[in-house]
Amino acid sequence: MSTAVPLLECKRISVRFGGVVAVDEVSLEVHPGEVLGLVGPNGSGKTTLLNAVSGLVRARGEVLVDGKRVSLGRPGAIVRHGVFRTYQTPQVDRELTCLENVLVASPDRAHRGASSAFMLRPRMWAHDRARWQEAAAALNRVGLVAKANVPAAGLSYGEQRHLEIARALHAQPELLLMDEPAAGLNSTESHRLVGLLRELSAEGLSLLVIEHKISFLEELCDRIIVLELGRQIAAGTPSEVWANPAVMAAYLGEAK
Amino acid sequence: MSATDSSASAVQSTVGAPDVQSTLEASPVGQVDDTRVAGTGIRPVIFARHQFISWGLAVVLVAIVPLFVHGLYGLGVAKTAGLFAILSLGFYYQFALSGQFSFATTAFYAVGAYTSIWASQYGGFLVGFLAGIVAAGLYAAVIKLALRRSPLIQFGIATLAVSALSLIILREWESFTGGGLGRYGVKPVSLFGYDLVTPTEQFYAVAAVALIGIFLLILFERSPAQRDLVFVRDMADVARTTGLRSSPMLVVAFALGGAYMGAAGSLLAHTAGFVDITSFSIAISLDVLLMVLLGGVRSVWGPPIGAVVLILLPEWLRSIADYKDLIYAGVILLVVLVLPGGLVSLPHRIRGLRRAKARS
Repeated sequence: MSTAVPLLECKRISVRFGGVVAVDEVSLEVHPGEVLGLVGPNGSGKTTLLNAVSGLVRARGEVLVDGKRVSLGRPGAIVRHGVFRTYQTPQVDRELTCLENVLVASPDRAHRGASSAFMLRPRMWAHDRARWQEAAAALNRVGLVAKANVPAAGLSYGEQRHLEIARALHAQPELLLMDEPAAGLNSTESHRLVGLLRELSAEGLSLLVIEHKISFLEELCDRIIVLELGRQIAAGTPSEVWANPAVMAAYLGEAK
Repeated sequence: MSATDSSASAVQSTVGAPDVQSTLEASPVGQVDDTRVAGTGIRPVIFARHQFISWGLAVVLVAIVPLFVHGLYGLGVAKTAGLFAILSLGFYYQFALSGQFSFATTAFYAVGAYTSIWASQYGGFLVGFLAGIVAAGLYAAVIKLALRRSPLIQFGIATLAVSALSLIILREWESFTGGGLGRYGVKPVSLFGYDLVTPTEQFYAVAAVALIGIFLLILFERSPAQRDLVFVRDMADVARTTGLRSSPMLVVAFALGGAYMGAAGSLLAHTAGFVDITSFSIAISLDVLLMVLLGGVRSVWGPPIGAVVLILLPEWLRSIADYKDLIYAGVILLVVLVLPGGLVSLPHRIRGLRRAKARS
């Protein structure tokens, strides 16, 4: 695993907000097929790191996917390299139906513009039909196919999370970055989610997961990286990491 | 191409109502069923709407208007309603579909009119008409590009300034617009060498363009472009991390809207035969906004219905026509407070209320 080119390689990523260093030269690698956990107390820079990788915030450093450099600070740049992300609070368009919420992420970008809508209808149709089926399959995967034509506003919180995952699957990524996918889920839903993610992982999807729930991470992750105050303080298998005194200090120091 | 659409409509599975509430209440469930269109048979709800049938009915309705409306005045009002319907359709692209709140409607209207007058000198009405559309569309694209980083409110205020500035420039640019004197003797609308000069012909010309505009808008709505644009409208940053190129999409939508407004401007010039700077004012931008709000932003029928109602309202209430502005204000308050989905949502709203009554 260590000899191959990493799927995602972050080199010395730094993010500053004014005088605050939110992420301080963090480097990490995700290897093909791996599930990497990213943990740390609140404010340790996990989400900011994810935002940097997905281009939402300006960052210094280097991000490589399959050894190819991805331009930073441009949202969507990394999507074209097969890396997709989800958000801490599910980002679904309440007005669009589930199916439409998934379709927007289709990797097939042909004939989606106004010119095709007006002038190249047959080709637009052929491409769009294929997309519907793939999107329905993605919805089926997360158990939402029965609600394909229900507006996302009508979904429960847990369903919205799954809808976001369906959208991510429709994009057919090689690597999925997930920001606290189990937040706000009850234990049944959370358990089901672990099952789904393990299935996806078994099919070859690599995952980078930010999460607080320790049981969730232990069930899922091959490796864990711990951040505190924007710096990496530990890395290793779940059991190694929990045994690390620095990790205990970081968390207990945070505890109320 | 419309045949493809309607054949898909024929494969009925889930009839999604346009408003959220009744969709939920009817809970249309797209079940997996492999016997329909190869695969799952699940398709976006927009394709279950019978938009082309409604469009056909609208064509019939428009065709019989001259049976009931007579004379220079009556048909003139009908023509004005048609012009505002086109303007409102343009505003639908900009505001309803892509969330770009603009007061520049009147600027695109004016640019379309003057460009059309100028270009028609060199090749007749059709050349002018197309030039007006292209010029207004390009002008809209340039403005959107210049203001692409401005968020909603700032964009709205900036377009207000653009509007005022454009009108001043047009007023001062005498060689192009005739300045304060305006442009007289504009060539009439003509098709294949036949001039359309009677009130009825002019009404039909404007109504035909409005209907074509609605048809194109329906094609746009029944395409992936619409859902991508709505997602960009609602989810900005998320849409970009989803891989959608939001900025070009917003520019295209804004330009399409501008192009519609340019078409309306051209028709105004070539049907009235005379245009001066007083033909265009910021009030037009406001009226169009009111029309779209009144008609509804969730359906292509919202803008034309809003335009027709708002133009006809002062005519129906002739005795109190002096209070036009008051009526407008009252109507808007009423719609915003009581009927946020606009007039087109009225049937669903009534059905919803009835159902609620039956339940209680």
